[in-house]
Order: sequence, then C-alpha cells, then structure tokens
Amino acid sequence: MTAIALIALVVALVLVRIGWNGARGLALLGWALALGALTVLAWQDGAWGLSVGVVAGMGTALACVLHAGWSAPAKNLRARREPPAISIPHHRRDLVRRLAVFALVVPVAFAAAEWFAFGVQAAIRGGAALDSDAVVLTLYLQPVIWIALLTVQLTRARPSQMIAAPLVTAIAGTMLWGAA
Amino acid sequence: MSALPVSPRDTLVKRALGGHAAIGLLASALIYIICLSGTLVVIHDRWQRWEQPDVPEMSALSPAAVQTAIAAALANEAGKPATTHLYVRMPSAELPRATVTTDSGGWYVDASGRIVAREAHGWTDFLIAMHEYLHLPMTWGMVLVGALGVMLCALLTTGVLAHPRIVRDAFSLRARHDAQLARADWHNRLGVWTLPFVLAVALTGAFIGLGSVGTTMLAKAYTGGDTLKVYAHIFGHEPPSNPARAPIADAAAAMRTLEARVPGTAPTYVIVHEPLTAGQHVQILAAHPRRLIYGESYFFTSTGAFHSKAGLSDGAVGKQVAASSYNLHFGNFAGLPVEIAYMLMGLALCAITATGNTLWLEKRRRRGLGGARLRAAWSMTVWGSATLIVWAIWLRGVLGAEAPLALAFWSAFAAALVVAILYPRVADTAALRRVCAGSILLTAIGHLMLVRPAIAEPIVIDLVAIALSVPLLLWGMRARGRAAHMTLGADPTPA
Repeated sequence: MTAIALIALVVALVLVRIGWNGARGLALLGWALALGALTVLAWQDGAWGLSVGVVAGMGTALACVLHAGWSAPAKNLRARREPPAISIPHHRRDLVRRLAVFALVVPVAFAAAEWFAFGVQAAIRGGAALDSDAVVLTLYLQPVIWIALLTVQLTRARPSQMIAAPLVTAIAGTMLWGAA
Repeated sequence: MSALPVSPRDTLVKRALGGHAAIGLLASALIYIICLSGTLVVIHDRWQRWEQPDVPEMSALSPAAVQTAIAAALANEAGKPATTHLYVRMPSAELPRATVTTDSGGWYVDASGRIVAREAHGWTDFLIAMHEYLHLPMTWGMVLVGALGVMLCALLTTGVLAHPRIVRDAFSLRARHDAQLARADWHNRLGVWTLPFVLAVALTGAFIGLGSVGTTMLAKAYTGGDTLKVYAHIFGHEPPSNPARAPIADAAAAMRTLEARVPGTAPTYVIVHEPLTAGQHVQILAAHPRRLIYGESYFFTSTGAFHSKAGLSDGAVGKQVAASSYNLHFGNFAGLPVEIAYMLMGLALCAITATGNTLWLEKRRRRGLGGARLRAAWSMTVWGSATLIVWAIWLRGVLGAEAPLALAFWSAFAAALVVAILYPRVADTAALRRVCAGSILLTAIGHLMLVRPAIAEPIVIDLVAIALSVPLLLWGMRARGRAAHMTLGADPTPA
C-alpha cells in the first residue's frame, strides 16, 4: 500500500506539471491525488509515511523543474537592471539603523519568543509538575515564535515599527505566566 | 504629474525582499558552510567506511560478543580516570561495524568482541563538528547554528512573501537565458520546491541547537538549575549514583531479556552507565522500523533485569516528537534512497544560498555600484570552502586521524578570504570552480589508488565523486572558453 501511495504521489506531481501548462483541471486533479496519497501514507505509517511521501513528492517536482530547464530554449533576454534590495551602509546613521534592526530582530526577538514559550507552557500546565509535553512545547515553540517575529519585523518600514511585535509577545508571555 | 500609487501588496513584496536580502547578506556565509557540511554528513556512516576501509565488518553482534567488547574496553581503561559511560554501537545496514566507546576514545571490535583497531575517522568527525557547532565550544556553537536555522526559516518566509508569481512561475526555469535571469530562476524554483525539506531540517536544527537555552530556563525555574532533570522528562530518569566498586554489568543478559520481552527489535546501542560501580545500569537503544523516532530506550539493572522504558515510541506526544526530530533532520529514516534525496536537496540548498548572494552582487555591478572585492570574497566562500574541505582529507591522510583539521580549515579559509578581498582577480569564480572540481577528482583517484579499499561502498563513493567532478571541471573550462571572448559588459560572476 505504501508503494502504491508513493507511485500515486509521483503521478500526482506529474499531473500538476502538465496542468501548469494550461489544463487547470489536470493540475487540480493532481493536487487532489497528492493530498489523497499523503493522507493514505499518514494513516498507514504516521509521521514516517508522511515524511517519505513528501520527499518523493519534492523529488518528482524537482525532476520536472530540471526537465523544464533542460528543454528551455536559448534566448538572449537580458535581466532588467533592478536596484539591489538593500544597500551597503556608508553613513553613520545607516550603520546605527542597521545595528538597531539587528538588536531588535536577534537578541530582543529571541528573548521575547523564549519568554512567550515559557509563559505558554506555564499556563498549559497550571500548577502541575513539569512533564515531557511541557518541556518539548517550550523548546519547540520558541524557534517558531522567533521565526514569526522575524517575518513580521523584517516587513516593517522602520526600526521603530519593529518594536511592537516582540513587545506584544513579551507582554503576552508575562500574562500567561501570571495566569498559570 | 503625481506618481502612480503603490499597492500595499507591492509594498509588502518590496519590504519582504529587503528583509530577505538583509538576512541573506548577514548570515549566508555561515549558512552555506552549514548546508555544505550538512549535505556531506547525511552519509557520515558511509564516510567512516570510506575513510577507514580496513576494519572487520559484520551484520550482527551476539550478546556474548557485546559482553566481551565491554570487558575489553574496561580492561583498556586501566590506569585512566573511570569512564562515566561505555557505548557499544551495534552493526547496522549503513555501518556494518561494531564499536565500543568510552570517555577516552573509541575502538572497533570484531565479531567475537575483540578490540581490533582504534576509531580513526578524523575527517568525518571534522565535518560533523563543523555542521553541528562550527568547531566553536560546543554549547555556544550549537546555539549559533540553531539561531542560523531560525534565520534560514525566516529566509523561507520572507522569500515566499517576496515572490508574488510563485504559482505562475512554478515550473519555469530559463536556464539558457541571460545569466542573471537563469540565476534568479534557479534560486526561486529550487527554493520553492525544496521548501518542505528546508523547513524540516532548519526547524529541527533550531530545536536541537537552541534546546539548551530553553532547558536552562526551565531548569532555573523548576529544578534548581539541574538541566539533566529537565531532559530526564523526555529521555528517561537515571537511578542515583553509587560509586562503590562492583563487577561488570551483565549487558548480555539485558540483551537476552529485551529479545524475550520485545521480539524482533534491533538494538542500535548498548550503553553501560557508570560501569564497575554499584550504581551502574544498562540502557539499550533499539530501532523501530517505519518510524521517525531514532529508537526506544529500554533500561535494565546491572544483572540484566528489565526496569523500564523511556516511552519514546508510545509515550507522551512530546517524547515522540522530540525523538522524531533527529532522524527527520539527518535524513536517515528510510535507508539510502532518502539519504540520496537529502543530499541532492542539500546541494540544492547550497545552490540557493550561493545564487542568492550572487543575485544581489550582480545587481550592484549592473548599476555601477562596484563590489569586485565582495564578489571575490563570496566566490571564495562558495568554492574555496568546498575545496578546503577536500584538501583536509589529504592533511588527514598525511598527519593521521589526530591532525588539527579544524584549525587548518578555518586558518586557511580566513587567509583565503583576505587574499580574495585584497586581490579580487585571484578569486575568479571559474578558476575556483576548476580547482574545486580538480581537487575532488584527484582525491577520488588518489583514494582508489593509495588506499585501495577492499569493500564496495568506498569504491562507489569514489566513482560517484569522479562522475560528478568531471562535468564540473568541463563546465569551468567551457566558462573559460567563453571568458576569452567576453565583452566588457558581460557577467563576470557565472556562479
């Protein structure tokens, strides 16, 4: 059954690739088949089955991309002369701004995420003893929250706008810890 | 006339791209080295066979042989400080060898449990240490590598936000267009379709690397600062120590007890905690097939009687998640096919990292903003680090397994970067790529001719290395041929 589901996954991604050329129905069918195959793998073999399925799916998709590159026509289209997304700081105020951004997104956001994760596990446990679920929740939630903070902060226009996200997170962590 | 209004979506895309570039420029060199070393250590067990091919191999080790190996290792420890732990690594499909390790080192044993050779895979250990903690003091190094895992995940999220045509361009790869267009397509297509892989390895890497910080916080809050008590909730509690002298624990009896209690399990490690003391106990780690967990831990008394198990296979969800993170990160949960897939996707991640910075550098060059020294430093990072990893093999071959590979690598890398910055022409990308490819080719041929491995797997690794290095060498030579006819405005960074 695992082998059948894996083969179905490969077929599904090929259908998605064919459908990408314009036959939207085929692409939708492909995604539906992929979802079904992954469901079967997860049902049968849990996280292991899901992981093996996703690896097979990625491999198929990458093979399709490489084939597209191999068969791409040679053209002399030149890339637009776009400005680089960020510039090298030359003035002191630019350097100070960069250092402020670094401080906010690295140590400040890291600490806020850590405190929030600590507060979550305290709130979930209430007064109960420390257990494996609480430990793992703390350790695993922290990087996830930090990634979310980084994503929010780095899409703000100015360093002053990057303060709110970690501040709100830290306050939420304090409230959760206080409620525990 | 007023300027056209900019939509909030365009603003978000622009800011996300700026954030993506900021993280990339700050962290890409270290991320690249971690990705490159990580790609190689997916098959670290097979590198051990490649590096030290002349060691007895077997498919299984009997309980009696395990007990003999333990006794032999403890006899070897005479006159040294008492070892706190003794590990017997059992033969597996990836590494059909048995080792016994104490605090003072590791030795290979034969099928009867007799010590036959010292573990001497210094280059493989050098690669693993580079990936896990960049050869820094271990705890701090792991925290840094974990933080870089978070940065890699943030590169994913900002990269997706900065890619509004992500669905429309899903299978578009203009590999034969202008180099900058091709580079952008490689970066984006590989980035999108390896997204689940990168998310999985970067997140699990972050969990593993940053775990010590969270554990310390929990320990200070709840266990009086004792981090072992925090870890014990996941991996099992150890009985109290008792340093009084005692005979060797009966690990063979423990193995027989396990086989009777849980038939068909495959022990991967047999561990004696605090051997030769009254507080000693035996732990057997056993693999569970078709599971992501690295195994279940079974605990036994010193006489081999069953005591308890950690519950990694069927206990609390937190334990199962923690135990699953390692195999998901290492890619060793479904044999060679998944290992090969992980290596190929790891190489893709190296290409994504390399092309990302090059895209930014080339945009600067095309706008007349210069950056020759930065380009040289980046070329040296991408191709120079790989070359130095290969040259480390020769250093290990000449000086032995104890050669200071980490010191040599980082010293040489720093010097190479200084030279590249001072003399950018030296760090020509095509030339560096040829040197790298040539080094791989010569090393593979040299290994075949000088080491003459008698087992198949190291020979296969050499042949694959030769097969991959030849096209890489020819690519570099083709680029040199084009460069000879290059015009002034052409792209000098064909990476």
